Amino acid sequence: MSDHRGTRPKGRESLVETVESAARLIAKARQPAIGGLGTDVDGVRAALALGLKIGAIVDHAATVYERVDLRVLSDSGVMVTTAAEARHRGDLIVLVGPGAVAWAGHASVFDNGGGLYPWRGPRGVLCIGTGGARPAHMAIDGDVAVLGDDLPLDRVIGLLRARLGGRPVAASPEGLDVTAIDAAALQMKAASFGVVVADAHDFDHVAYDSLMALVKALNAETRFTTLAVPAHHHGRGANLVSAWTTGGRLPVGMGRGYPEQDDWRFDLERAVGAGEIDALVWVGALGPELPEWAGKVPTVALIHHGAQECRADVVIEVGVPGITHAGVLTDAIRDGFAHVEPRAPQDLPSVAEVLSLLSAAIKDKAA
Amino acid sequence: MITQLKGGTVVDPVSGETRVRDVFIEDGRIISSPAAGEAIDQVHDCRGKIIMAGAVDVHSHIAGGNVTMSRLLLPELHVNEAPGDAGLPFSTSKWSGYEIGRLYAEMGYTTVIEPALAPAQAMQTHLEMADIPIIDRGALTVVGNDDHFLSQLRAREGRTAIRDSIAYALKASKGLGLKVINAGGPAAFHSGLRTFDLDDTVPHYGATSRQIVSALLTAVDDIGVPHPLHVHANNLGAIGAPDTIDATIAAAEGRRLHFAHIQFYAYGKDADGSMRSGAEQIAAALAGAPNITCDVGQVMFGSTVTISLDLMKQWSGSKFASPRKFSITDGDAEGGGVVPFAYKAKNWVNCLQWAIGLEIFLLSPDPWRVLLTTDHPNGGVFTSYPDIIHLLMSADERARWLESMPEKVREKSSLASMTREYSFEEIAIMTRAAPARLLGLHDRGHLKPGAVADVAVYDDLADRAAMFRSASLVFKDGRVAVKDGKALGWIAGRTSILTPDYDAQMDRRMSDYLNDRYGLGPAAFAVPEAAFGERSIFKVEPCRT
Ligand SMILES: [Zn+2]
Repeated sequence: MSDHRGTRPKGRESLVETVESAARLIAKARQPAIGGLGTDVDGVRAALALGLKIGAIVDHAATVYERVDLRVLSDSGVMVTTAAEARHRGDLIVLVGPGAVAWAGHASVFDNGGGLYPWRGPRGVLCIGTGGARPAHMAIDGDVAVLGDDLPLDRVIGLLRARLGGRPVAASPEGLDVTAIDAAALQMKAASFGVVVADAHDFDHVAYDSLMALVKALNAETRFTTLAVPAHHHGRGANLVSAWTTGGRLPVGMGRGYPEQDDWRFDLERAVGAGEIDALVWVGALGPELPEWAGKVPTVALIHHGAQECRADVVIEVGVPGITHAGVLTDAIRDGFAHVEPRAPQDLPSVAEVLSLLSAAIKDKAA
Repeated sequence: MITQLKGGTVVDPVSGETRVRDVFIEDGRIISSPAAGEAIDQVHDCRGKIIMAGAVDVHSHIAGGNVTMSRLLLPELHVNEAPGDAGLPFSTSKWSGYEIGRLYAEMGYTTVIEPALAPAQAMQTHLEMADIPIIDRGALTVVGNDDHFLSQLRAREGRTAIRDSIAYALKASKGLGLKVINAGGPAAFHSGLRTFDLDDTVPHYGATSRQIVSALLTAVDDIGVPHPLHVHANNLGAIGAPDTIDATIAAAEGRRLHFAHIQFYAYGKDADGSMRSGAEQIAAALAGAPNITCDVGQVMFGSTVTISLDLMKQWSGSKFASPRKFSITDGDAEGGGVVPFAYKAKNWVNCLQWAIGLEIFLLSPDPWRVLLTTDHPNGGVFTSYPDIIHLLMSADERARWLESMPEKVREKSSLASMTREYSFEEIAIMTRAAPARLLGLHDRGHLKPGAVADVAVYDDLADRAAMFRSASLVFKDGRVAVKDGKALGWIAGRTSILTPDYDAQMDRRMSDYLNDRYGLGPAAFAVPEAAFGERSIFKVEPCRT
């Protein structure tokens, strides 16, 4: 990164010039990378197409979502539901970890009881390993049940799985009363449609895997499923687009002329730190901002209108899907793609437009 | 611009007998012949080759949330290892939409139908389909297990209201037809049930599976959907399921009905209670009911993944997952289950499934009513179609496969004694004319003047599998898309849809319902043209009048 602030294009003519300087920066690179990827479906499609053309590593900023949530999906599989089903059908909402409590509080998924299924019983809430956090705006019938406030998540999940499976545990494991574990287990078994809510940020992949195994086991006797706290900055949408385009999730490296998936080799923060990356395209239409670890790598940043100062070598201001221009995004409320109209249209280029221009300005590596 | 396919053997039962003749293409359509004095711009020597219309697949899981779930669940089954050719980005990315388009086109397929379009997730299915190059697409809107519809049955709403709500779902999701999956079963699974039969009642709604199927059969006809109701029946994979097929045919009471992947229901019961072929019972049922069509869902060997909205079946099947992992999504209506599975050539049950599928083809009363599918990827991957065609066209080839299979297969099925061999004409009907007609796509599946110039040219090889695996030439809308079995570049196909009318009151009613259910209005579920930017994706097909 240079000391001076990068140039921002003013108007469409200067956009072409700015894209040309960006293209020069990228064309020189031995191992370019495209990061951030906070953009809509067409932006991700364009990023993957550009990535293949220049042999880039491509990743989204929501690395925890990829390395925990999606990794456990491919390691062991998951049982999941939608926010609407959880709200209307769930008669026991199990918040596992503090992130689940925080999300349940602000995402308004559970702020009403849901009335579509009149036969549903009262909605109970069980907090597991939430460190004392309790949901603020949830519609709840009765008291919030609590288990293992001060225990690490992997430990309390392990104890619960043992008791659900009828296996003995120590008399008073880590100060926890066995009867408290059994009460929580019984409450879960007694639910007709239980929903475990969890935020991947509270887990490593082993603990998350264990939680998913617990949910699967509960289905031997009743119905239980999970609802994951959505990935930030459109991370789920980006990974889904990658799956149908490259065959798999992010990150991918395309240096060999085809996409390869590898969490370690293509971890951008690691690769930048190791000096393996010599040009970075940061896509932040929906955020996030250029991270500190981008360090000294020559960088082209696509930032959203009104973003903070950006210390990239080339800065291109782009529009925001759903704000300045239309676009397709996953909707966190129902976990589906939707076309969103702009709320305040402005004549700013989209990520897809800029990346296509950039691609056109870079000669084929083979050529 | 006029293109001439010169001197090939044209196999097109819709336009007439098989004979050596020229085929002419002008502006993306088949013409009978150029006007006198009109110049021919391009001539392709097709002497010694077999010419058919582009093939049409009526049921293949190629796009949507559950397909992408399978991609994420099983990275080890599709590790990329080779770059694509120039001009074909992502064409070798295994299980990608790009690879799907290339592989279908290279076999001479030009239209493929995704059979499970969930209305609440319609946008994703359409985004994925739009990224499948070369081929045209369509999708079947899944109805019958959602709370809105089941509440209509509970309230004993009239035929018009049900017709309108189903028409709304079809139009809003941009489907080409309607499908029901284990009618009521997934809804019952959400409520904790683990089996569901035709006369079982969905908890809390008071509607039986039979009532659901019947209401939808009527709605399909009332809306004028060209494709009959596409039915994934109850009891998939169960011993004794031929009785379910008989009962469902009876429930149809003469109305048009298409059974998806009927092989998975053709499991009879042996004296000792174990599985045996029920293909004869299925064939007899088909012969006796001309209103019924089906696709086979042939099983082929190898590792694959089962993708289904039949939650109950996927939950019970998860015990047999190989590798040992699976996903179950309790969706807003069905959701879906993804369970990897390996069909083993040494396992007698898997071999019997394979044999039963072939028996159904060979006992078929009518190639117009028994269509070729593997229920990709559930019974096997679509790239095994050429092997299946070879097996159907050659009794010797079947004998060769059977030789290495467990003896039980010969005891429990009649395949070994079947001598029928499919003709090119029957193959052309089963893989082209019949599926196109059944879908209401009257401009394809044949080579009559006016038809879309989707044409497949094959070398006439004794090895039918090799012949149908890589087409010598494939034309898409009159343009050469494949040459010598290799796709030449990305051209964009289109997605066929229906836009049925319904009473405007249904818009208001659905808007209220969606807001109650999701806190979001209809716009959040819509699939507008604008979502695809500059690309022109949709082609509206007519409803029946
Ligand atoms: Zn299917």
